[in-house]
Amino acid sequence: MNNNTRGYHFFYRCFWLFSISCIVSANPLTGDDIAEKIAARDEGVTQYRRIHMLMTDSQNNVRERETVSFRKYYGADKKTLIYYEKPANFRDTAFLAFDYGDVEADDDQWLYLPAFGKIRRISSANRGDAFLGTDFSYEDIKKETKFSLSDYQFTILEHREESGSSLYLLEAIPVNEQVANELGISRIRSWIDAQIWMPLSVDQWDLHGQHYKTIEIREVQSIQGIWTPLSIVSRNHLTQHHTVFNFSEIDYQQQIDDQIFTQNTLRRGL
Amino acid sequence: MLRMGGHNKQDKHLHFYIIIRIFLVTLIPAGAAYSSGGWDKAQISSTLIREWSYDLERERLNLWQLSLHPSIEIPVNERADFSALLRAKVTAIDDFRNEKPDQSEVEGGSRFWDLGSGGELELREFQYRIRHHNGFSTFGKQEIVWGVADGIKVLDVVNPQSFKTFILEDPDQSRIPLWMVNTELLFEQWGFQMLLIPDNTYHDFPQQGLPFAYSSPLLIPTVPAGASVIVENTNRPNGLDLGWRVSTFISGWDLTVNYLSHYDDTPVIRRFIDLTGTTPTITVIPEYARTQLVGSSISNAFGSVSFRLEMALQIDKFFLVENASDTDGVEITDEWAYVLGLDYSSQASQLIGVQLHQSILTETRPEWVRDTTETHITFNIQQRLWHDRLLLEGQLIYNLNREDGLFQSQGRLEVLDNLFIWIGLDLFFGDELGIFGQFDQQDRIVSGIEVGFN
Repeated sequence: MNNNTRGYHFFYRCFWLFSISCIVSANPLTGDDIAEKIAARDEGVTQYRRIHMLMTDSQNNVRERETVSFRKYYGADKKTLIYYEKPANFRDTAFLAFDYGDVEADDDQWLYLPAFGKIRRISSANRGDAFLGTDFSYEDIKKETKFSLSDYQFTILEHREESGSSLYLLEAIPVNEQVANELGISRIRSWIDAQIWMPLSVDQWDLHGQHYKTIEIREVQSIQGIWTPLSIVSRNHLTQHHTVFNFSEIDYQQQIDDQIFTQNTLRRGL
Repeated sequence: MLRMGGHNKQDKHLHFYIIIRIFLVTLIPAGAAYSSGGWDKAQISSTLIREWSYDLERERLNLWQLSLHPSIEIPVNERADFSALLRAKVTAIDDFRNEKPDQSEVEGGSRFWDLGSGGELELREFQYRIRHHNGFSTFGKQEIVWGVADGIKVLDVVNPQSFKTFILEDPDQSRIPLWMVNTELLFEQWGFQMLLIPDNTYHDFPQQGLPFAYSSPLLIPTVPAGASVIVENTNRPNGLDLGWRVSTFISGWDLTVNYLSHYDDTPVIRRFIDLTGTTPTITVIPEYARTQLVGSSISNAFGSVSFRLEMALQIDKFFLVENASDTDGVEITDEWAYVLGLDYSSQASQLIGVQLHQSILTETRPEWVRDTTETHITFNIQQRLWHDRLLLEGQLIYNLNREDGLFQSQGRLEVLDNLFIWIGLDLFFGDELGIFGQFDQQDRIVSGIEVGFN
């Protein structure tokens, strides 16, 4: 190698180092950073809301559910109660979940079906199972527009500036086969709005690699200073079934009694 | 079958009480809510159920029934609310009911109003609930469900049950609500429940001649051929049932400890044999006896498997003996019983459950009619399809002692969000002297439609 060649290689290396450093400084966030920002998004300590559920099959037959929902954080732990009011055949059906911040702890879930009069302890392992006939999974219901940091490896695939918004395409791959099996998911890709750190759409691929579900957040509004989805739709591309959750009467300042999140409330009603 | 009945209340008084109660159901909440402005928040809903059943042995319909279940919930103020549930029923065909049901096992104030021609009007629930600082108290007619077992009862003994179709009817329809005071206090993860039950209503057993009248010697005394039988009126003591339950949630475990001092809802059938005449005479005196239940339930979930256990000791319970020289044909002992259940749920919306149930008499006597240890196993499989619109279910209850049992299967379809249809099959099999085998001739297909109104 002569001196000219050495000088060319030195210049070439410096050029690439400079280019890489420029890219890094222009896009300093990693996938984990974005997932952490989403996880850290303020959700308030308590939340009360009504959820109007619309489930539509491929023949456009629509089933409706009217529920009320209570959620409260206890440090890193979260408790959620969903209580069915309509239709009459489902009235008093209720779902209670304790979602623990400790990743080693199994979440706890209970379902009350009034026809049996008994509370059923339900497994939290099959997190990808559909929640009471909707196109949302139990995991979707519990995490709602967030991702469990310990379940995925996150990668940024794309960064866009659109209409003054900064959008990231984030890919999440389950960390191992067990998590993938529990979630029924092999891959997630979601567009994240960097202004509010909330996914605008979430595409999910099943264990066979088929693109089977898309969740879209249709409308977001700041309520009592907290960015809040007002309508979410989940579409199952394999069955052509979709579910819309429309939220109303959202209140982050309502005092929610701890007694709400007990089996006594499940059994006797609100 | 020996009659378990005999009641002194007069029907006209009974009907008066029922009319007054139904009147109160509509007027008291309406008045209270009107004065407090709560009527605007009243929630009224109802379900209409039409049900058929087809007798596979006799190849004909044995039930055609229409029932309406209107309910109302009215907030009276921030701390109190009323709720009530009625059941109005008409039947065009009902082989499981006498033309004039005597309701002798039911306390006067809890009976339904027999409208004649197969019509019934019943107040199923009537509750006034008051919230207080650490819980609430509920006064009125209500149901209390204890335990975690499916299809087999160990702790779920607070409310009596109608055995009109043995155990084939849905639990929420066969359970008989009682008038009581139910107070629950909550302190963080601890719950304390106290029950005061003045309502002396017992299990409703089918009368002799009806399809599900008991014939198994495990349940009723056998009568020698040629003997004459005198059945005395049932001795119904009046007394208060008391119960309490402590419940908690610790490290993922649901735990309860239960206690109930009550009259056993199944009467003790004492029989006295008189051999002084030309033919033996057997006098039968059914009576309800007090017993005490001490029990516990435990449940948790591990991965895809849920674990359930309920157990109880019934103190001072009577069981039939075979010894003809025994004075009254029954002996007292304690009974241990438990149900251990495991449920496996898969990602494919499938649930597979298995239960082991054992009932063990603490005293071993060769003359017990039943075995000292009775064992049942149950299998249950549920498959949800089409986004939960279709539920397919199969269940087997099998008695290992006599190798008899019951197989049930059902398909339930949600046609619209307020319209369900279902069809099911109930098959009894095994030893005709067994608890299930005695109904081997009662196999049936059931079908129904349920419509909800808000």
